[in-house]
Amino acid sequence: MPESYLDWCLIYLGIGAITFPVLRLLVYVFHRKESPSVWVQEMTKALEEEKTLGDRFKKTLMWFGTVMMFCLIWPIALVIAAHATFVDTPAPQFGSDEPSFTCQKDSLIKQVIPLEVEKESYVSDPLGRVPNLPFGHLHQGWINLLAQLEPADQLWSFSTKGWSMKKGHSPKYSRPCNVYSGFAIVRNKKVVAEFICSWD
Amino acid sequence: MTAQAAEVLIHKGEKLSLCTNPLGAYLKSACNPIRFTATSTALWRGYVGTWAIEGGRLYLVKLRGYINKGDFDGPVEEVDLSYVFPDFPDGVFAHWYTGELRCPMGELLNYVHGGYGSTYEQDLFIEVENGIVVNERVEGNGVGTGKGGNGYSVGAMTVFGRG
Repeated sequence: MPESYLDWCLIYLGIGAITFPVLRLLVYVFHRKESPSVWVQEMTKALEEEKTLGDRFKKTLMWFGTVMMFCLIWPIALVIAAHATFVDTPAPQFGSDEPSFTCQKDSLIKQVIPLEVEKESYVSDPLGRVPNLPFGHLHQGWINLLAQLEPADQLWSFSTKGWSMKKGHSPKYSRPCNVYSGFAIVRNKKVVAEFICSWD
Repeated sequence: MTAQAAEVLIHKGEKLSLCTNPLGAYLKSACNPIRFTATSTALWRGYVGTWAIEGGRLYLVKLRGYINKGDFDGPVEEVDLSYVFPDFPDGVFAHWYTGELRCPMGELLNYVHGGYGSTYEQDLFIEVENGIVVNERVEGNGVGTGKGGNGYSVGAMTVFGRG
């Protein structure tokens, strides 16, 4: 029988140290993910930045920390694992039938009036290489959007945030890339249609 | 993953490799139901456009694209600019494009076998607002050792044997 608190602590941590690899093994056996395709592996490898010694040290430290943490709270981890295994959880409800849009709620800028938008959308070109229609070559997209506009709908202008290169990295773009802007129909506080008229 | 074939930009009498796809915005705008098909892993977008800056404006002057006749699996057919813009077969003002055109120049410093990820000694950036050139600048990325190839290139690719 353990004689001191230290002995009890060591036994507790020891159980944690044994439980950790056992749980890892069970997860590997029952919840193993399919290994990614060669294409995904190549892509991940190409995108992965070269790891420095510091990065490797950090990763090792994180692993060590995780194991230590598990040894401390292994009863909680066991309860969570048992709950996940034996208690049915409802399948998440994905709105798979709902169309997805480039324009999200946080991309909306301001409500606009279709007639005014149209008035300002004409494009001219000295070489005549654009049709004299609202939004020029993108006219059909505008028509398609207006066709979906219902009396109670709102028309909003939008612009997405895009992404920026890290400072010091190449290529040295001076502004965010992949910024989409255009107009969206908002119905019952939801984006229901969009017209992209500019892309960076 | 494969490095992608560049677009072509004619600027100040020079033919440059353009690592930006301004036509993508037009296709994304859903004005046109055209869907190009990939003919190789170096051309997933299915077309190569030739662009020109004339009078400070960006024009699409030539296009070589590939589509599937009929079904998705149908034979591949080559199409040109008139297929996308029937009323403007000689050139199209790219007023939909706002952003920075990137033309890599000089020696290859770091080859990335994917997208336009490779780094070259310099990048010419041409800033465009609604199809109109507003600024251009050259950014240096480093100096080559003389061992890398000169100019934009695709290392290797797989060509699809359809059609």
